[in-house]
Amino acid sequence: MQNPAPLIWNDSLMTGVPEIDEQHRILVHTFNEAAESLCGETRREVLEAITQDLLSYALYHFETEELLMRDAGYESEDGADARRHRAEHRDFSTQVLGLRDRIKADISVPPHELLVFLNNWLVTHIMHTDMRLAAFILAKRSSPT
Amino acid sequence: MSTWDAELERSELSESFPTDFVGLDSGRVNSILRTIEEGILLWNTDGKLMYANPAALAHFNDSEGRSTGCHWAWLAQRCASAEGLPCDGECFPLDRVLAGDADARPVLLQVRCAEDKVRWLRVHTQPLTDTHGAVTGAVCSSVDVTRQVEQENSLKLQAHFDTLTGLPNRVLFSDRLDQALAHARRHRENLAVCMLDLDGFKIVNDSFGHSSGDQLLREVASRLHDSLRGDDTAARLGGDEFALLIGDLKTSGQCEQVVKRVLDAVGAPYFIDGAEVRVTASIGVTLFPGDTMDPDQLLRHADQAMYKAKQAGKNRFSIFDPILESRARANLGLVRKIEQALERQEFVLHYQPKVDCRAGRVVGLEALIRWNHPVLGQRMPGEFLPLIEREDMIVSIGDWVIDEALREQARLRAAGHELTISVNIAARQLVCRQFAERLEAIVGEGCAGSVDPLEIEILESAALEDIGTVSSLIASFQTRGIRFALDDFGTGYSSLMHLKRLAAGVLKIDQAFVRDMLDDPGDLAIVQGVIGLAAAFRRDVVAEGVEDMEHVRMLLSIGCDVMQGHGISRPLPVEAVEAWLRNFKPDPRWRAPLAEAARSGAALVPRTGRLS
Repeated sequence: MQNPAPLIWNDSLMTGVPEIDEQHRILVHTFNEAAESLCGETRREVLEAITQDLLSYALYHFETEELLMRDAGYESEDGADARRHRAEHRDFSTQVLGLRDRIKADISVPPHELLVFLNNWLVTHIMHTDMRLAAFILAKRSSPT
Repeated sequence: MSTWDAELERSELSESFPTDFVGLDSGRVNSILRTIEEGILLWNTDGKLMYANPAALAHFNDSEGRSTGCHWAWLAQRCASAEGLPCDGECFPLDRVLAGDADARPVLLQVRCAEDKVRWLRVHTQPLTDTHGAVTGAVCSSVDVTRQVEQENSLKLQAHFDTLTGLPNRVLFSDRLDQALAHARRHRENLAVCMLDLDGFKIVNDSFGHSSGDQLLREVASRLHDSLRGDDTAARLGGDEFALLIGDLKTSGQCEQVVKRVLDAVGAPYFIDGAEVRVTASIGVTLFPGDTMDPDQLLRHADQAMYKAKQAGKNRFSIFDPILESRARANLGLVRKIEQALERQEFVLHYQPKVDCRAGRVVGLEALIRWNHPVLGQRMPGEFLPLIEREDMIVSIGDWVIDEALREQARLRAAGHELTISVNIAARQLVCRQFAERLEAIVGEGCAGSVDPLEIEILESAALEDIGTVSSLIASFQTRGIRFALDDFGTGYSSLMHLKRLAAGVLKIDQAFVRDMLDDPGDLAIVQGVIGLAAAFRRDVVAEGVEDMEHVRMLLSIGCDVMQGHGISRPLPVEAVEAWLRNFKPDPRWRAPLAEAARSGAALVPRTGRLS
């Protein structure tokens, strides 16, 4: 089965909030690296290392975003969005942890499935959820109260 | 009054020229000026030379005095500035002085002499004024400072060049790097900073001797120099370590070409003392822009890339990846955060009960760590423990877990609940010597209750990393009140040999197999296999991941009584543990006869019909 094409870092992925974009660039890099090392690769150590990289970067990046949310008062002004955003973050970690457990138990995780999951999550989360947050933050920054 | 002041007073006395003594007889002035080593040159307001004493003529290489009556430019044309540039009005400040600038500093000039030799002069120019202060001409004094300058230059050379190879040294390299960075920034150009280390140099040095080693280094240096363009720099930083600075790159491909050329040049055979010798190079490259603009960091990054090239098998180059670096930094940042979390007491333990469903009683609690992250809320161990598995900090966390779990056990004992408590310990902690001492201390405190105080859960894969240490650890504590359990059993490359060597009292069946055993005959076979192994080796067995009544019945029916999982109880926050224990009642359905389970249709199916 054809693996998803590498994600090309381009303007359509830029939210305009530099802290977020810088980290997204790294997430996309992590994803592409995962895709590359998964080429025909199903060894458990490789799969485990990839999920660990993802978990680790997620922990780092989600903290940045959720601190930005807190500082901008996202929760109090746009509560539903903030909750949905956080839920997507938690879902990511849960999904990756689930994958990790399956990999650990040698329950086959087709590389394709892992990549499609990551690709979809990254693209939809960045292009929709993060864009909404970024728009909120940028509006706050341009009109200081 | 000090001697110095007395001198000053005397010299003030002779501040004005003693015309009475000398007379204004030019002959007498002339004979005075003839005697001194300093050159004296007098100029009129047109900048023409009116007089030069013999010392001055000698300084400027004009013993015939052809310069007399000529404009200063005539003399200037045989001079150059200290930097070797043509001598203009800036460097020979006569015009400025004639225009009234009385503060011209002494200048350093070089005068070309025969045979490529250069004479260095320090020339000081002053205006001559009449009694009304009007400038009537200028006077220059010149001093020959060739010896001082040459000495200084040779010191500078030693300070900037490697004496063995003649290449720039670290000092000059970092100087050139600064300049190249400034230039690249201004002109938006790309440049590459490379670190180069020879592979196999030590062998040459050891087997052929140091002088051959030195000869080899000189040859390498000259090949490096020859494979670069004129404006690029190859430097020797010390030992067999070199640095390259490659500027004005149009594409990164161009850089790769240069680096490959260098690899080929260095890798070609050498003939030293009649023997053919081979060494290769490992090169680390970092590119500007893209990477940082801090020169020290660029060098560090090139060095990191060089080590990568070495690790990847030598005789190759590797290009530093700034994004990978950011990721590594993020990881390191996380490790620090986890360290802080321990200090700030952000970790808590939850306790998951283990129940013997056949006997209908609680037999123990597994302590599970949670991170109450200040921003992200409660995080699971799988999200952060793997990040520090190889760090010393995992040991501190393990220690904290043991302390906390034992405290909770004591509290529960006081409330009348006698339970074994189990903790998860990482491989790194198991094999560290202090761990055995720690267990010794726990055993030494004696067992207040009737059960083993502590159970250590070890990942099977972790136990295999140093099976000798782990098996002797198990052997020395197993009979003295500390139990060991092989966690996630079945997920590693389990073998009977391992099981024989690791005398752990308990095997824990991984939850993934238990969860799927009702649907997947392969998983059921593994579960049954582990139960069979446990019986054969006389070990206890615990099933993890028990989610519902079907799981419980299936496990009971195939001989596994002790279970853990959401179907029994979720991991409980510490404040909820006691209430749960107080209210615990065995589920009557656990005791339902097997026949009933069979009638219900679920339990026995995978073992029979549908699958065959």
